[in-house]
Amino acid sequence: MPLSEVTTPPILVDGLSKSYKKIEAVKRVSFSVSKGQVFGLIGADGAGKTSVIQCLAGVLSANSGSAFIDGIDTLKHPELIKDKIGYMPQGLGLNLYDSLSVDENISFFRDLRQVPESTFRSNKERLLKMTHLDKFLNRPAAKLSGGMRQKLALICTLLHLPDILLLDEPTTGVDPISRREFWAIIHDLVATREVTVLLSTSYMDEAERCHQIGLMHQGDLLDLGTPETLTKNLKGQYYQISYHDPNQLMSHLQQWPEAESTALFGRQIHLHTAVDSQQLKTKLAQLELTDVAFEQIAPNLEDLFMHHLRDKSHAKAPQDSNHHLQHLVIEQSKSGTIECQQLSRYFGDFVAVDKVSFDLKAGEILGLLGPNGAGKTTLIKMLCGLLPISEGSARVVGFDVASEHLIIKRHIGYMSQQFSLYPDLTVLNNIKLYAGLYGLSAKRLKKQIDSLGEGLSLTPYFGRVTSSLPRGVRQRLSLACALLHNPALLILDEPTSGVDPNVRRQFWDHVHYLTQQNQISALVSTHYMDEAEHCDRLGFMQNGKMIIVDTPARLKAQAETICGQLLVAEGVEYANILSTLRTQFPDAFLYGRYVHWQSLNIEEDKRQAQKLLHENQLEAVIESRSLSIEETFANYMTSEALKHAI
Amino acid sequence: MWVRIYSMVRKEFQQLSRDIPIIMILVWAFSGAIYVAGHAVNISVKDLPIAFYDLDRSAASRDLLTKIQSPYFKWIGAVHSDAELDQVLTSGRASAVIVIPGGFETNTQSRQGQVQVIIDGGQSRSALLAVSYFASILQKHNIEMLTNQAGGGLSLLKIPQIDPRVRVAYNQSLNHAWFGGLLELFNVMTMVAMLLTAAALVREKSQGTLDQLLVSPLTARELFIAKIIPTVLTVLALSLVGLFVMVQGVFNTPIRGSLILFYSVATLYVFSISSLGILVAVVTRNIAQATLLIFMILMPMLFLSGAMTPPESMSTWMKILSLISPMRYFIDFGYEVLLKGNGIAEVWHDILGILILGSILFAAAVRRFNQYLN
Repeated sequence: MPLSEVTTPPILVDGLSKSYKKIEAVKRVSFSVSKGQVFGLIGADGAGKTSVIQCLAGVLSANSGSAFIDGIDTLKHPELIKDKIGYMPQGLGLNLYDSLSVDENISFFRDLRQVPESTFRSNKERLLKMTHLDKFLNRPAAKLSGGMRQKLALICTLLHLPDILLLDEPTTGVDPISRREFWAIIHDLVATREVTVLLSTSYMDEAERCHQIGLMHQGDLLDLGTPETLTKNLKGQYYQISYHDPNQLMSHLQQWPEAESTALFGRQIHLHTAVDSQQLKTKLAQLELTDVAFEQIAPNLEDLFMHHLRDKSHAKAPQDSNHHLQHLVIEQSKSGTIECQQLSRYFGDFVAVDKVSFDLKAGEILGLLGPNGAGKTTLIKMLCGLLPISEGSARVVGFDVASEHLIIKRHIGYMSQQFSLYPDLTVLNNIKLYAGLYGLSAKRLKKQIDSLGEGLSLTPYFGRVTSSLPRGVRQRLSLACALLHNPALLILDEPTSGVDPNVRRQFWDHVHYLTQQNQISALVSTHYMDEAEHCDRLGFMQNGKMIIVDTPARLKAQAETICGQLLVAEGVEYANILSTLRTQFPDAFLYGRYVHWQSLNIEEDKRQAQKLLHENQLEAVIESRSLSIEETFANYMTSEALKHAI
Repeated sequence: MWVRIYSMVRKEFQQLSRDIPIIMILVWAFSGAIYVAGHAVNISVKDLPIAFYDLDRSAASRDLLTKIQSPYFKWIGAVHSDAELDQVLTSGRASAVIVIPGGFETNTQSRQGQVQVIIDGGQSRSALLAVSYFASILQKHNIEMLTNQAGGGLSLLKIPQIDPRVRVAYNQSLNHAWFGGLLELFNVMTMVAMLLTAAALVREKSQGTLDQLLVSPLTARELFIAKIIPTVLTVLALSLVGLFVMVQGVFNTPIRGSLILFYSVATLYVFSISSLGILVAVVTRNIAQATLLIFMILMPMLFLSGAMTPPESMSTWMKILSLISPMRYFIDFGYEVLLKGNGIAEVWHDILGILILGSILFAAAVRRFNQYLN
């Protein structure tokens, strides 16, 4: 190949290492991104994603290795790449000025970047229209919702028309609807301007929207490739098994030497094993259980992560055995129910929660999903007795929230998304503090310390200062403190946001055990689809209203009936495929390397699309798929027809 | 209720005991800071650099100049022109210049002698003191000249004059360390009380631990008390170090009054100031904001307290404003009881002031705190 044809990739990272004091944040990471690609660095908090991006943006120096943008060494000449890149730091709109309005923020970034007036005017208009922010020009940035802030931050990053975008966790804390819009903009930029994008995320479900991904864990780049090939290369079979007592079946399966790993997803068990379905059938028959059913499923990225983490430790991870769980006995004296009727809360003229009715049975996990500002937090605060109610009524664990909230507080356990215990205290100090607050007697405290210490594997850490502990242990400590007083109801606010898949699986194993064996119920507030998968029922909220509460399966079925199933077109020239398909199906959008749209008449639409593509000499495979929870949720948020059908 | 408060207070002390930087700051505030304040803050004038411009060059002028000497003044030399005079003053090499005009000796004989004293008014406090020193030096010199002129015939005693015999009560040698050390102790008590309380609460807010506490049976009132108690105990314990080790031990300040009275009122005072700390924490979002706000409150409070200027010499408005500075009452109370050995009969009005202001602060803090939590 002649030398001239060797093109320099827009982004190249070669053997990059970065340490902070003793911690190795990035360990010899190498990858490259070619032009017009979206590359996703996937990993939990602390995986080293931010350090890699900061080195590329020229704002962080590395210990060894190099990083190039368009062939320019960013570590040596950070000033030379500034015009080429658009860099968005982590945090919701962290580069914005809160007291400045949308318009003033944009103008500030124009001046900062010295964008020529002609470029600025056309670009600004296009970006504002794309992000739907044109109606909010005079609103101060502080008053924008999380999703809007992030879109404004993106506008400010894109003003000088950079060809390379470095986005650090752009969708963290952004609700699913805004997240979809955000991705639509990114894919649009890729399709129209061939920009190159490097972004990081801790959401596994976002990986599919990238062309290439790199899995990061504790500074290591575990794997690199397209999302499909990576999961296809996984060895062994993945099954989803259902049984009326999943915990009982779980303990059977865990003793089975052929089982690589087991995990609970709601009432389903995910099993990873080398055996084929015939052998599994025989195995399950040997157990002499009556109503067992199973199906083979495709492994997802979380499975891939688990596979690599197990490989690294060369042993079964401790969470693969759930024997310690039997110590987890919660002797709650109440039944963890919620009966909520026409509950409302006003702040002046503003209706934060609007006549919300739902109930929660003992032993059930209910997920609340909704955009930022939908009223989830206000609703939860009222149910906890932290905020007086305006109208309606609610009974929590059998007590009225208006008049008996002091009793309610004794029977609920609360866990928030950020670690809200004291990092400068030891594990035992923290436990004793909450034991005191809940008035546990010395005898009961000792019993709880024993059972929670064993059940949550915390005993070895009792004397350690909390800030020095790994994230998973802190998570278990939070759960222990929330369970100390034997609550009947757990309230979880995005409990596993930003944690490793193995920590997340372990956490949910605990919660499923508690709900199924101890009949504790759980109310989960989240906009994290990975968490929604674990819920028995989901409640969708929007503008203070509870739109619908039902099981994920029924929600999906109804959305498919009213709004249609998903059609996916896969082809090499995805940008052209998209523009062609849009002439007939205006709602089609780009999803990574695929074009997605919903259809009520699958066979007919499939045929039409094939014909259309064929006429334009485009090759594509078109398949139908069932809706994911996120798509289902988006349908309920945006489709008037669906809302009417409820 | 008390079990919950006890658990919280225990937690606060556990956190404090692990916070090495804060412990170092606290130890410094109640030892080093008091030591520095006692020794460095000195309101008398010592070794003020002066120059002279002698245009007369006579026996009388030299006689006068020899009278101006240490410890108050330090000669830096003579100047020889108006330009040089300006230069030494502007450059700060001299804080004052004595100008003796030509014909001084002749004029003095006929009782018309004049000297000019030019003082750098930029340092108004030392300038004021220097002027009064000059005045008294000249007065003494005048009497001497008078006696000399009259010769042996007229004895000094025959000239009618009043000789003041000043005795400074409670602080005979006018030891400024007594005054400055105590003032700094009161100052540090105020600052630490506000800062510790505000920091403890703001930290819960910014760490997100407050929500976790609120969903527990802990009530707002209990949380409020649990945040104040550790501060009160810490400040009172440390003030014992400040008072006995520094003020009494190092500066030898006599403690004359009732310690029971002092510490009862000090408890009340620290409690009031902690309430102010809660108010600060409620309206701010992080430690940096809280610290800034505390200094904005602390400086005027100190200036209005009467420690720098007695309230009597303030303008009417400032006098009224000084009534709302809790420090004014506490500093007055502290001097009265500790230095003068006074009892309730003499300081009841200070106690009343602290009580009234404390109640207002406490009520406001409880109100705002409840509003914030809801």
